[in-house]
Amino acid sequence: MVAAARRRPSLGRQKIEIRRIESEEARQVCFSKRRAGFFKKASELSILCSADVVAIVFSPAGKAYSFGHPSVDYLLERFMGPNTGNNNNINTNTSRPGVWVKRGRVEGELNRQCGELRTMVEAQRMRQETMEEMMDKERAARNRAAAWIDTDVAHMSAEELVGFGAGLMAVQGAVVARADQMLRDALLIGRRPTNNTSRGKGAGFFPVRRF
Amino acid sequence: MARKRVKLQRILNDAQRRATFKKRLKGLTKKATELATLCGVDMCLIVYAKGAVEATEVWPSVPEATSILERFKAMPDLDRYKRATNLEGFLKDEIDKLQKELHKVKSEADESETKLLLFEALDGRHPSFEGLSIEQLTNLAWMVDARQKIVNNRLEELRRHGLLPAPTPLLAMGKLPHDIVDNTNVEKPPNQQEGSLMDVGRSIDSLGHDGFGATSGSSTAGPNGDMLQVFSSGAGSSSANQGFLFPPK
Repeated sequence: MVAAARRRPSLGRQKIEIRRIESEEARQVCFSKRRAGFFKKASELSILCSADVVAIVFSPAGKAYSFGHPSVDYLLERFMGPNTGNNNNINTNTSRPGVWVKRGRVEGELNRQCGELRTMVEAQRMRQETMEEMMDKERAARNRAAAWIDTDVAHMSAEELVGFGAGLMAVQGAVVARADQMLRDALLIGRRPTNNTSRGKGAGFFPVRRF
Repeated sequence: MARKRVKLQRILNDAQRRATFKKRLKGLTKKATELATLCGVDMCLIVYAKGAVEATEVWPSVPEATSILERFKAMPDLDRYKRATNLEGFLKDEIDKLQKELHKVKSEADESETKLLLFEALDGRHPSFEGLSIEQLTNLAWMVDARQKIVNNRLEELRRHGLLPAPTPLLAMGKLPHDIVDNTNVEKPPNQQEGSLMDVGRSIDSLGHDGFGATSGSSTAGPNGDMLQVFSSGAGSSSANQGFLFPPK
């Protein structure tokens, strides 16, 4: 009896026993990944919950990895008290508020960018909603356009198709004519006054309908 | 594990923040245990909750954490800071993700806006199309073009099956005013000068939209009358109901 082989790229998530990994190579790989994930979670905790966090991890080879917010040295001093012992190797530069405030400024700037982007995303979502609403109104009005646009061509009669096609052609003609006019106006900037609704020279003087 | 991604920003609601803190702290210590055990490494974690005076969490224990910290302190500066991580990297990742999201949502909104314009235009409410930007016009032109293809394909299909009441000639599609490299079979516009519309369009639109694609070569402005002529012969503009022209071979 032969069992069919499982054709999957990887085994996926599997529950593992929490015990020291035997293979040195596997252990190193695991360390690398989990350390990164651990620091990521630590960073999320600090941001989401406004917490001060410090984590020190020594690799199997003895190298020191650290994560700290607002800074490792600030937290070291906070936890262990001000320098009392003789071998105090705390970098007095980074444990003083001044320096991590500067790094805080970088982070603050990045945070600000995040906030800005979030606002813009939200704005586009609102815009999308508005468009959908307006389109629903069009549909509710049950005019030809709505029937044309929403119906699958496979379900349209020949007459409807021809009508739709004619409508599309008319629109395209007007669109191109308008684009052509805009081109001409743009070329005439600065040479002679235009007689359309524009108000002065320079790009961006076309009154633009913005949603 | 399809859970919604949490925004990487301070939780404003106090109760929610405290609850999240408790949960995540628990998870974090669990991860710490796993990392330490699986990989046999020495490590510590210290957390101060917002507003806390004393450390909220010291893992694995105060004496062990202290010894780790002492060991860390005893290291020369270079070794200590070589592998240090801070929020900067994580925030930059977040910014990348947000930028991608913004791009996606904006395209969707643009698509909806163009569709709305099509609704209005087909209903006859845009006789002159004034007040629109070149970008909006271009997007609309593309959308109309795509629909025309679909309609024509269907008409051709009906014709092949003999289902068309004769005579119903195929509609000539208005040629698009540009030569954008496209992935559909748009017939090349006979007049190369049409490409120039998009060059000018780009300079007209000071916002520098990037949705235009490359045009081929020609940067001559060209006599503008030509363009209209080419199009009116194909598009039929206002005389759409008078007679259709076959697409020129």
